[in-house]
Amino acid sequence: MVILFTARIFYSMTFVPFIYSDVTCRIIGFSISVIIEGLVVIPVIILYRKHPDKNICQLAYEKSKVLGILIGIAFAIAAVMLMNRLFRYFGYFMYVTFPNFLPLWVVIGAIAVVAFYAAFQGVEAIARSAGIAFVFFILSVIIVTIALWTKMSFTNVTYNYPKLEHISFEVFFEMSKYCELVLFPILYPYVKEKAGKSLYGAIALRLITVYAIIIVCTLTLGSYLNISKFPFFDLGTYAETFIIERLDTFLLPAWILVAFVKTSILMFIGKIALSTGLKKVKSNVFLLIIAVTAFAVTLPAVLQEKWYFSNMDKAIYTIVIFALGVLLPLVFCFGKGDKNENE
Amino acid sequence: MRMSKIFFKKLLVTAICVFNILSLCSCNATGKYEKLDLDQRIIVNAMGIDITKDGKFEVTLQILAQEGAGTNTPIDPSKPNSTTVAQVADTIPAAIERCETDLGKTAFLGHTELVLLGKSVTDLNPVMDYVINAQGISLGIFMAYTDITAKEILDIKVNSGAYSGEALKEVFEESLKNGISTECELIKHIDNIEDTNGTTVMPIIKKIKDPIKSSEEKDNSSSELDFGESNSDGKIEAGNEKLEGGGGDDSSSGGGGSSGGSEKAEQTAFYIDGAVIVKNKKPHSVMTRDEIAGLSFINSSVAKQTFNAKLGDMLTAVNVSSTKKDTKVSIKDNRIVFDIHLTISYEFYINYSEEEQKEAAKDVTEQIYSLCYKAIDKALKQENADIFGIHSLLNHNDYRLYQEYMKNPERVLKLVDININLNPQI
Repeated sequence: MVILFTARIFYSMTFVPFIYSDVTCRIIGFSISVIIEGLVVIPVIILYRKHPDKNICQLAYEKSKVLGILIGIAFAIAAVMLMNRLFRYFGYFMYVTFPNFLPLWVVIGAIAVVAFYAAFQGVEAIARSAGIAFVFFILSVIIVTIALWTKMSFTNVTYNYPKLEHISFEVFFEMSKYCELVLFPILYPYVKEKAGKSLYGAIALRLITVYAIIIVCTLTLGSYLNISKFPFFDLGTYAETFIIERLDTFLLPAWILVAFVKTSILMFIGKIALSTGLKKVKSNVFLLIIAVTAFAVTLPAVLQEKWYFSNMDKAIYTIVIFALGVLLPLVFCFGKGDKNENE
Repeated sequence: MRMSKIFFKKLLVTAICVFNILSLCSCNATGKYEKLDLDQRIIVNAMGIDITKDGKFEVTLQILAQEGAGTNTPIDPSKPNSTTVAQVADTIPAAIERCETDLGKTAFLGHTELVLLGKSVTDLNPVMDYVINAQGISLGIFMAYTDITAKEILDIKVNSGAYSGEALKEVFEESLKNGISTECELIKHIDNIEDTNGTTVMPIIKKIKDPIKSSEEKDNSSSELDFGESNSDGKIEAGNEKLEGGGGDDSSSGGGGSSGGSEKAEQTAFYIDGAVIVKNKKPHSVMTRDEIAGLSFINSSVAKQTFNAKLGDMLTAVNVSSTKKDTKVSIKDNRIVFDIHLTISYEFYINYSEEEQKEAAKDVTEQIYSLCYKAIDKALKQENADIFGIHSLLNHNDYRLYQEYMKNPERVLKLVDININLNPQI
């Protein structure tokens, strides 16, 4: 649950939440997307109940070797795509907030190397890192909220009649970020708690956190939200305590930790997906291939400072996520389960 | 398996080493990624912006003066600890860059606490564009006007352990509590400008050269102001003593020097007096101190203000603070009526009888009514400016009117009436 939450919350910190539509549409769009997500995770939960010890690639491999290899490659490509997006968002964040600090390819390369090491150590190491990142993130949200408490005002809230096009855009935008759907069909054999609890727990946790962030941002920043590139980070520049004048430097480590956890878990699932089908090659070779590929794919965009994703890109991401995270589990839901199905 | 693990561990160590080397190399990098030591940076405490006669930007940076700060020698409290550097260029960033060239150091704006605009700044567009997008500038910095040049204010030397920019910030904070200054944080200005098609209120900071003549000079300096239209009286009433009915706050009339009686401190005092109404991102007119006090009461932001109330033949001090605000919006005879109910608490320094307290409270209440209606008359009736958060009230109470407002704010504002109801609590 913590891994899934940490992997997903990265977008709440970096993406530009209010630049496309107002806060009303944002909240409605986000709420709808959460409901949809609650529904589309059902196939993977059923799959887990039927085959709790086998990930989706193993199931495919049992049916057909070629199918297993193809699905493994598909998941690995999805992991690389998601890492590409993550690196570009993180690069953009560094580009805007800390320009001329370091060459951005070095920053992204450093995250890739550290994430590679975590993925190399296995899911336990990632889970521990995710726990630290989760605590740090929640702590930073709470501290920033407390520091800004006196600066919040309901007069900063501007309501607007929601427009259908804005809401649908928000839903579409959110759906392109359902990374849990890609992660969980591979990860669930490693999960100690029940799948439903993990998935719905992560979704509920994200719902609460994103609502909290939206409320704090809106009550504090008001109309500045419409022009802010990183509203959550801007809260840090505005918040101050008796000891610390600005809290943005406090938010930065949370950002880096969350980015690192997400990268490492994506590398890990890519490795597992490929090594399930291609058993002759050592799994760590795949890990290396995935890390290098993700970095290499992102490098041209980083060097050319291309940060934005077009609507077409988002549509492709959405299709890939739904194909791998919803349709495939749905297909494998049919048929007999394993012996320990009812355990 | 074992071989594979060893191989990957070696690979990892190599990769980490490569990145460490790269990081070390970047520490020695030149050009864009050149690393700067602390002594290669100048910490900017305040920034002043003026417009020269030929329309260029004159940017003044107030920075730490090494001779007073103990950089080379032990801290010397007898010397001023700030200095200024100014340069002129076509744009603000270019002027800052020239300042950096003069100093041979890079300016760090992350600790800037104040952006001061000289009276020559007649268009806020380039200034707002710069401060919103400038690297590192906090949303909480104070932004204000001055009736002279920003350079003159920032040139004030303070030898009390604080910068004049820092002292100014303290003056702002105290004035805000006392209700004689408007909100002046950058985020508030951005909010107001975004919500109201470029309307905001910025406090005016003034310099007292000679406190003995200060009262007289304040009156004279008022007439020197030239922010678009002049105010209704042709001059600005200034100073605490000008608060109607003898009311006033004595705690925040100046700042800049801690050594109260010294000649130097007297020469460097500054105070907040009135505010500039900005419309369409251009300074439009000036609000007096009384009007600002009224605005603060309407916004329910007065933490503590002392009024002098008549009690028989004598005057007594009453401590006043805003506690609650409640607004109702209604439409009467094609007019949009805002009924603002303000709960205000009164505290007396001396134990009076209940009758005496009521009598004093009545006098203070009348004074506050007068201040509030002065503010309404000036901002709404004369200037047609939305500085009372009308857009927000309409948005929260009547969405149809809000939409009308967004289409044509000027027309809607002409239809607005504000009624003040005070609920004094002794």
